[in-house]
Amino acid sequence: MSDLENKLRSIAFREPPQDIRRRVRAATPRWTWRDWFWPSPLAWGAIAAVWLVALATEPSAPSTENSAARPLLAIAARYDQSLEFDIK
Amino acid sequence: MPPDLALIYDTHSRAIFAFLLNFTRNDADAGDILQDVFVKVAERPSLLSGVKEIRPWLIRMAHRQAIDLIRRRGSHARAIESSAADTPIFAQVEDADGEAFRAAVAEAMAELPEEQRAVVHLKVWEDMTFAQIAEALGLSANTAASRYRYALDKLEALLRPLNKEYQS
Repeated sequence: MSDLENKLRSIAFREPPQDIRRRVRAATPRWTWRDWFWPSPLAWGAIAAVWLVALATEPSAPSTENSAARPLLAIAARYDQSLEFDIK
Repeated sequence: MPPDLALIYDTHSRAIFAFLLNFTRNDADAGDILQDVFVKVAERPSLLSGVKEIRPWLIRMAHRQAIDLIRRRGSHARAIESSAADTPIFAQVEDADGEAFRAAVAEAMAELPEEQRAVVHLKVWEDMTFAQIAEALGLSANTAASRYRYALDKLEALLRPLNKEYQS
């Protein structure tokens, strides 16, 4: 580095106004438990989709009337109806 | 986990503000752009994912915003720049000789085209390599090096009388 470069480097610039820091802090969104639990909606959505596909295409699922899956499906259907009713 | 924006701000804001102040020569513009840059990062922390070196990235963002501002203003920017030539860019010092040298440097820097000023700033005050400067300002390393050489020659010529005064 030349003498001039060294001299220039020794000069300090003014500092930014303090209120900018406060305004930047104010613009920072607050983090809640949802941000920890739900960091990536896409990833969670993909996992849910995989589960749904796996459930729908489960090859070992029994297809008879008295299988264990039927009551569960019936409960799920009733739950869906009650949700629809609540929404209405 | 959210990046610690307060830490990032405290670490880099002075350097980004110095760059903006030197580039725009306007106190209000430098402050506005600094705030915009950090508010953008605050609102979208994902912008920082994959960023290896934050300082050059922030400088690139600040430089783009400054260029956008100047383009938006068009010819009006020149008028603003000339009116802002008196904007103090350096920190004040007690020593009178030092103050005179600072004033002369500020005046000499104002004589440089803004893109040369940007290269000089990043080379001298940020100690960046020409490759890093090129990356930050969106130009080739050769262009950055030649702009620096021209700018330094001009600064030397402008500051020579002052140096002679000190030496005599």
